[in-house]
Amino acid sequence: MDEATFSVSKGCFAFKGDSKENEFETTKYLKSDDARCAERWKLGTEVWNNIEISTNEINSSLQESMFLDLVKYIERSCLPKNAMTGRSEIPTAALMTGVNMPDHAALFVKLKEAVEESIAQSVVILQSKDCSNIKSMMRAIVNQLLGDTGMNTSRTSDAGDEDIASDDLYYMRKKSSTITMSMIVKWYNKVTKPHSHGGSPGKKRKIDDTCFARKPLVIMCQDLEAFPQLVLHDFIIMCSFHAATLPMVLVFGIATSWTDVSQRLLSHSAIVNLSVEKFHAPTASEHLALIIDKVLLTTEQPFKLSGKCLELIVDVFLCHDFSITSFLHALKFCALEHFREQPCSILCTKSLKEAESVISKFTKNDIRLLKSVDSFKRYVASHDKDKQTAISKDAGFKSEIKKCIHDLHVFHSFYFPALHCLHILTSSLPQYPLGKKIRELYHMCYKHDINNHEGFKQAFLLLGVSSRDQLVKHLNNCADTLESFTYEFDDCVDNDVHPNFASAKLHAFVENLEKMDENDPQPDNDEKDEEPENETLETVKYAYQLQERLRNRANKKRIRKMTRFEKIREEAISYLKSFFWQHLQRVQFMPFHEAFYFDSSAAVKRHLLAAPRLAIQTALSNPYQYLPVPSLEGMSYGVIPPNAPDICVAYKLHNECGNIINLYDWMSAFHVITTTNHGEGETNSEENKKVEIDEVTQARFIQAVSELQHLGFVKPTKKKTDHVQRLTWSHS
Amino acid sequence: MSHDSSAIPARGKQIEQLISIFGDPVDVTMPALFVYGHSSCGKTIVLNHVLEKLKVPHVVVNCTECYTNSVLFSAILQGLSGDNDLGSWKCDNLNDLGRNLRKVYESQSWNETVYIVFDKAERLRDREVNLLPALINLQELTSLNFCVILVSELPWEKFYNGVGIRQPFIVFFPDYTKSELGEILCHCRPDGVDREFYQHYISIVLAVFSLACRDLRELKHLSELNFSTYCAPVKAGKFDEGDKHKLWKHVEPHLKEALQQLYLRKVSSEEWMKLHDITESGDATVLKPVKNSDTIELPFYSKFLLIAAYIASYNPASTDKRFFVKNAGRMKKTARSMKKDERKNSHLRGPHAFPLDRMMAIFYSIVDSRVPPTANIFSQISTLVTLHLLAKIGHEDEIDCPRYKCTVSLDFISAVAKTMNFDIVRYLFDFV
Amino acid sequence: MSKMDKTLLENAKSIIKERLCKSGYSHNVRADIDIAALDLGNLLQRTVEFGESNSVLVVGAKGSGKSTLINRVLEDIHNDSKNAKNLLIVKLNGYLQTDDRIALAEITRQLKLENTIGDKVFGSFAETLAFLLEALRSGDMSKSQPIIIILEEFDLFAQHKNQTLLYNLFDIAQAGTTPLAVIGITCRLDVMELLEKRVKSRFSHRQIYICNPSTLENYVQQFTDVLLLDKAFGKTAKHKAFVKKWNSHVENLTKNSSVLEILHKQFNYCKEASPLHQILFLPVCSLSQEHQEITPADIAESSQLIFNDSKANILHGVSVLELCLIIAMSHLTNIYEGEPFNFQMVYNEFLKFSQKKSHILQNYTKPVVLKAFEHLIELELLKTKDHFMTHSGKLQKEYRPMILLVDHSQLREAVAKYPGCPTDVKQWAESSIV
Repeated sequence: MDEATFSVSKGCFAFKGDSKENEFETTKYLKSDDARCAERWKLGTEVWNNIEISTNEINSSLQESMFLDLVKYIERSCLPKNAMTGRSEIPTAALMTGVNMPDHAALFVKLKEAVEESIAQSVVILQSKDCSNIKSMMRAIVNQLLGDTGMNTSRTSDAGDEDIASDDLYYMRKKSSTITMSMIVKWYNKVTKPHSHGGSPGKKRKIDDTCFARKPLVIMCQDLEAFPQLVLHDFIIMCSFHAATLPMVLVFGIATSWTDVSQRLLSHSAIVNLSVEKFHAPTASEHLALIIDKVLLTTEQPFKLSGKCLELIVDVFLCHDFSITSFLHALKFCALEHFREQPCSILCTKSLKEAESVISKFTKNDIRLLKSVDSFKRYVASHDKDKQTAISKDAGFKSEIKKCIHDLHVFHSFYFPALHCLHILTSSLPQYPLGKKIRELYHMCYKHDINNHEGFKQAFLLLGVSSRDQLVKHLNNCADTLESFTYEFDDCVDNDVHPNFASAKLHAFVENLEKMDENDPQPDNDEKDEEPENETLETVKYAYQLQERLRNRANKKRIRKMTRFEKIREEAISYLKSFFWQHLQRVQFMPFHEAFYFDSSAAVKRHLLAAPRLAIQTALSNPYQYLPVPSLEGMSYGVIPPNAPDICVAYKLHNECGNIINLYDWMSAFHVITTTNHGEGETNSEENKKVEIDEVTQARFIQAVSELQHLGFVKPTKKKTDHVQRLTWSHS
Repeated sequence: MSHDSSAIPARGKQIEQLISIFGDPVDVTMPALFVYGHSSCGKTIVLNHVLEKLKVPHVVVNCTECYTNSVLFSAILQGLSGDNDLGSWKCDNLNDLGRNLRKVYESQSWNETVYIVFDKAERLRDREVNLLPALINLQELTSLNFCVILVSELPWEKFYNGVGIRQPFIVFFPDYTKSELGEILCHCRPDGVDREFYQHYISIVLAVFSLACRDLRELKHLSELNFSTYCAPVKAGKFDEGDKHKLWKHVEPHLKEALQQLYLRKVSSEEWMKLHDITESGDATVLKPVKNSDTIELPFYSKFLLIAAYIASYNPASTDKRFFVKNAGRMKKTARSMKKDERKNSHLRGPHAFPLDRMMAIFYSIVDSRVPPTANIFSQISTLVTLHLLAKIGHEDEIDCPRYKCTVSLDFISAVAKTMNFDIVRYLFDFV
Repeated sequence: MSKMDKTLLENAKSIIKERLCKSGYSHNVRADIDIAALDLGNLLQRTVEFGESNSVLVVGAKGSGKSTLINRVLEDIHNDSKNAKNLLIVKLNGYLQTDDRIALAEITRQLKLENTIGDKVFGSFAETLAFLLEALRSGDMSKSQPIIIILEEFDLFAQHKNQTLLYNLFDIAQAGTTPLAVIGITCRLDVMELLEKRVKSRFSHRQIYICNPSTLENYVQQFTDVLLLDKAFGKTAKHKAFVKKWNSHVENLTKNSSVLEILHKQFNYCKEASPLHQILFLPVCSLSQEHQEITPADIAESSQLIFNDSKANILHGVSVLELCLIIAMSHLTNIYEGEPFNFQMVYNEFLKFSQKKSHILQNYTKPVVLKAFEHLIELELLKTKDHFMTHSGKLQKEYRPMILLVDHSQLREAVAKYPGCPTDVKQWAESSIV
């Protein structure tokens, strides 16, 4: 769970503290060889901050609706109408948070804020680790309550209730004293009296002044699954005992499902006292999709992930934990790693201006570094001699690099709109030739040249036979998305493929399609035979069926003269093709794309996919990786140098053994190896066997073996004394 | 001593009895009463009612709430002395309790009987052995006119705990008859509703539920839940309050469905409304299926881990070979030779614990793509444990080979397996 | 007239109620207690008069009149002894003084020595006690005051940590330096086995046994004694008249055969007084202006209430579904020769039944049935084999091994008495096999 608390500080609000400590650390960790790393670092942190801000926005926008519902529910449940039913039941909100537990803490903190500011008197968040028994549970509740009321009384500045409750407060503050529910109720009444009678905040006016008019006390159980069953049972019983007098609302955070909880945790007599309302938190996966869509694949953020890296961290998300928080961790890692490692990341600025300003004050050293960027090398190689010489000059280089960066910016500003556009067109096609999610499409575009990609071709074949209303729908959506972006570099792209123009054109197509049928009735009759075919087309199962259907459709076309509709469709499609061809180039071919794209998936793997067992095994079988002693080099292929670490020697030997290892043989082998020095191998190993093995060797051997046992490679066995059992698979 | 039975319907007899037992406030009554009866058959409410009405000094303490003796004692003393600050009565053994009780008694200058009611008295059994007998003997111990009343759902015989304990005077609250239930439910009907109309509704509710549930609270909940459904068509003006048969036809399917969720509180009133869109159209014939929120979204590998765990804990380890070694011929033979025994059926006996290695072995053999043994995999196992989908058996300190059990049900796991289109039943020994 | 009469009745009622409820104050005592009282009396006399020390155990079953005895004796001493004024009496009770520290504090309090002892610190328990007694002696010059220490629930004191209190008290009593009488009262006959050797050796093995009435006659006598009013009731003619009337009706009541039968049954069931009182309690309470006398019917009714089987009451309250589960369980216990079963098996049995036989019970989902099962557990009609508190979270509810606490006869009776029990359920309960 502490991971979760960690994520509170990372995930949602406390990033000011974060960035500070980053700057604090950087001096130690940066590579000293190039001068600009400090600036890069600053740049990186601010880029990351931007990303984080926007992710937080998305976060809150997602949760907003659910929060609203919850608040409404709480308000409703405290209305006097419940008084009529005797109010024996405790209003309970079952909040279905997904299984992504690292995010929950953040979620609940936000929820607390939301509820507190709107209606509740005070909100308590309980975690199972505080609630091992009733006493500590009560203690936790009271501590939080008193913390709150401290604020309350300061907020509504009447010290009156303070005086009344003072000695009770003293009692309740005392760590030693045991708290009961009725004490809380009594204290609560004292605190809330003045609030409910006196000048009440606007939102409470409408509620008349019964005991239910008081603001409710909300108690949240963050991770309900982990609560002890008996504690929960008792707690609910207690609450029900006071439910009539105390306006109280429980909020259960449920990661699994209500059925599970109601069966396993809530006993028969407890559940009768609850009146449950279920709320669903936004699922992590759609949250992720939104982040990728709105943050990563936009022109907003200069920093971008290569398709491979993106796929990698998304896989971590999907396969391991649905945790947004850890996804953001990964993203953050990538960003900072990028700015730390990549020298030309200094150019990864939001606006072109900054980049240019940076370029203008490049030093020799910087230039030397930047010239070694491969994409640039490739670029240079592609040019002829004198151009190359021109570039090799610093001035020439600077102007060149300016141009490249400019091109990249231009490219991006059109790339992503086009990408979204294409995704809209293809995401609804049968069998998803270009993937269901936009991230898949992005990955493809990054990996291959999309315009000659098989999927792309097939997609357009399918589009080429889409029915009219589908076409209209698609075109409209495309136009809308294109308009949703803002474009700066209008002059740098020839006009007829400029998105604005494109959207206009698409609209034009749409209009034509719409007014087509009334001005000439002729195409309608073959509309009719168009329709059913398309229906079948949507439902087609196998690719080959599709092919042949398309083929004979084409034949049919050749015979019949094209209808008006088909003409327009042809035009539209061809135009779109050209549009995409223009904008969806592979970014790898552009010089200095490394400035923006982070592509070292190896680093990600190394840092985010920890494989402890592998690490240990490499350490044991090939210590050279960690101890660069030349004599150890050989160990990777078979030979065991005598000066290898004992445990490595023991490990190597035990690798050759079978399932059960005789300790004595093992030790003698160990002894042989450790005592052979180079030169003579087998010859004197004979009498080595004969001679008594000295205590030191024995001690070393024993230590090595016990270390291996500790690492879980061997364990003592009952079957044979003086043997150990091997726990890893033996090759023999 | 007349009383109004209107306040508490169907409990007149018990009220009578209690009043006659308590008798005149001043004279002595039984030192200890034991009131028992099923939950929600009005024990506490009747007691409170009578005590309030007789205006005798009394205090009611809830033994679940007072989870330590000192809390219990100080609760009693505060209740009797009626002073309000929390720390005032510090008292943690019976001796002090006795002394303080005497103090209170004299300070209040009582001469009538003082009643101390222990609600949920069964919880007193978990305390130390002599607490209960001492409390029962309170009158004798303090030689003051106290009457201790124990309220519980359990019969008195469950309170014998080895030590000699005097049997208190026992009062039994019988469970409500069907008609009484109807009466009470009518009594607390939403105001502004015609009694006879509601009565008929209640009779339907009882007809459906009474076999499965006689708990007043649950019935109350259910009747409130479904009433809007019942009178929706009337509101919609489809048919008037008169024709009961139609109404019955209309509401019955809903009730039948609610019967499936008895005591589960699965859907609340709000969702109930949403599910059957009765608000706009009064016809109940179109029942939308309950939106199944029970399928948990799990990460890809977690699903496989869970499946592996399930297989590991419901199959005997000896059968792993035939399921996971690719050798159809031998498998068929053994399958025939295997003799099923009803008693051995692990879906009847429950899951077995299995070592981690076995689970991982199965995991790697059912996941078709090869999985790097990263730390994430293992952290997922602990996640599953915290979600209580797996349970760790044995102590926490056994780190060398931890053992687990899979605690999910068959339909749950088969739902998960379906999403991975993995046919789990083929891998379960109980079903081959 | 009637007004007057009413008050008389009320008085009689409250008097009798007091007799019934207050323990240790039976108004006219039995012969055996008289003898014991004599015995104990002059023992204490010797302590008070000549400062002898003594220790005695009064052993007798619950409600056999131990407290009565003690109270009586103390009364006598107060009345007829010259220096009873400086007699100190300390009453301790095993229920109240749950350990020796508390007990000692209590002694100090009852000897009114709190301020003398102030906040001195003492090495050992013995020192403290010695100091207390010393302080008493110094209380007046001539000779130390006699003390009587009464230990009720003596056996509980024997459970205190190495019996320090008892050891010291007996030690002092044996030493005889201060006139001290220790009277232990207990209902455990094996009380001597509870004492440690060193304690036992210091105890003067004087024990007084009091037993319950051994014959039915005494028992009935007790019954009448409780009800009869005596001269003390009142002097006026009205009172006399009322007493006469009342007592005669009591006589008739005891003559009544049905009453006698009930008494006999009760007597065989248990000889103690308190159940008898309980039987009498309700009829006495129900006495009123309209209902001036106790009728045999009242007695019969109340005894009926006392005797009826509480488990049957509980079973009467469960729902049909739960009843079916119980039936299934009892069948399972038969099948598996009493070895534990779990919910899964019960559910299967239930399904077999509801699909084959019954048609009203078919539509219950498993969770619902599980909840019903839980309810039965809460009613403690069945208990888990292993103490499931230990791994409550670990094992699923469905698979906890359970044992049924309702035997077949009880079940059959319950099913027979159950209101509106479906016939097929009845048959199922009867037939051992589905």
